[in-house]
Amino acid sequence: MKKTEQNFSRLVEENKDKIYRICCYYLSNDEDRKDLYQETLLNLWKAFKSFREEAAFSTWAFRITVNTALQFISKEKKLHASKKNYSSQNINQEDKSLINEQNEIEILHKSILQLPLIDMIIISLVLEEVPSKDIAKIIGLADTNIRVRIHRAKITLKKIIEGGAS
Amino acid sequence: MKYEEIINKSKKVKAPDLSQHAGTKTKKPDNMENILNLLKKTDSKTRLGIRILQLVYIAMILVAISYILISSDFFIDLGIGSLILAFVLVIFVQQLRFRAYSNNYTNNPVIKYLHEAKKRMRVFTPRTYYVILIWAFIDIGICLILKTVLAGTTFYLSAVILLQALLIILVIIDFYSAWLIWKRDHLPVIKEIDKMLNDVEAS
Repeated sequence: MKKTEQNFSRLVEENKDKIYRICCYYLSNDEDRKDLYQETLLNLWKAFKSFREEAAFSTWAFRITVNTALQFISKEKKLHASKKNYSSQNINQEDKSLINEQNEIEILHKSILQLPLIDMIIISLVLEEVPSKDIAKIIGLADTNIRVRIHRAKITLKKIIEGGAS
Repeated sequence: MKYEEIINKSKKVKAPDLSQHAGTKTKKPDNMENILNLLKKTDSKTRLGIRILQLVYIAMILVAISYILISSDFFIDLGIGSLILAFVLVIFVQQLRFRAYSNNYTNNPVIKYLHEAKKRMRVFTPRTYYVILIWAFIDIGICLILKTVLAGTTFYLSAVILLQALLIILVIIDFYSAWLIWKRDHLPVIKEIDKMLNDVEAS
């Protein structure tokens, strides 16, 4: 393998679980998630030549992941389908009683899909412990603005999860 | 149900094995080398597809030029020349497609990416205008060739009028269907992007 390919492999290997988890927050269907993950890796590979090492690879990769997700959900009209899919099965007592690890993760995904798009993006990055200044760079907004939005989005998400509101 | 507990558990989700994913042919274990090979293959397949289309048109141009060299009729040469211009434009449009594919828009901050996505989803893009020019050159080319082929017959004028009517109908169908697809696929996305950008700009 060439040096570029080795670098790419190493960097993606280190971040692939986070990249996949970000993909998961935007879609409700497993196959769609894998499609999006594959498309994201392809976009990362295509853009890798333009990657300057002065920036952190993860910030750069997450920016591409979020944009690819936006492209994917708009192209495939998946966002409404995912939101609809989940809203037809609101978080209810039945969900709560069936709590196991997998269900809890699904409840989290379900709750995130109920947020406005910009908050979905912010929360998907917050959950992967991306610092607010990096989220600001990824989204293209001021750090202060992002911090306010993170705070608001977290409160809304917490309310949805703990309150079971739809 | 505790918010913090769920958040912590979500970190246990791992990236899937792409070798078992639908549409992925490889059955090898999913290490980074295989993923990379898969990415390179997908990438080069798209690039190759566009290049092959361009090569087909280059071959058609070469055949047309050879015909001009052996033909002695001025109007046929002119007609074929017009068709060649149409083919050159097709190659150019494909080059724009190639550039759009190579240009990774996803490498921008989200807000900038959304503004650009909106621009790319306009009803009329520069590519639309090139398509009109391609139709026009094909039309002129065929009319000039018909002028020689049907010379001296009474069919010439009717043939040209028929051709114009046919082309106009084709162009209208083409544009109307493109508009319907745009309205179905792109307009809701543009509205969603506008909503998000307004939300961001209002804060």
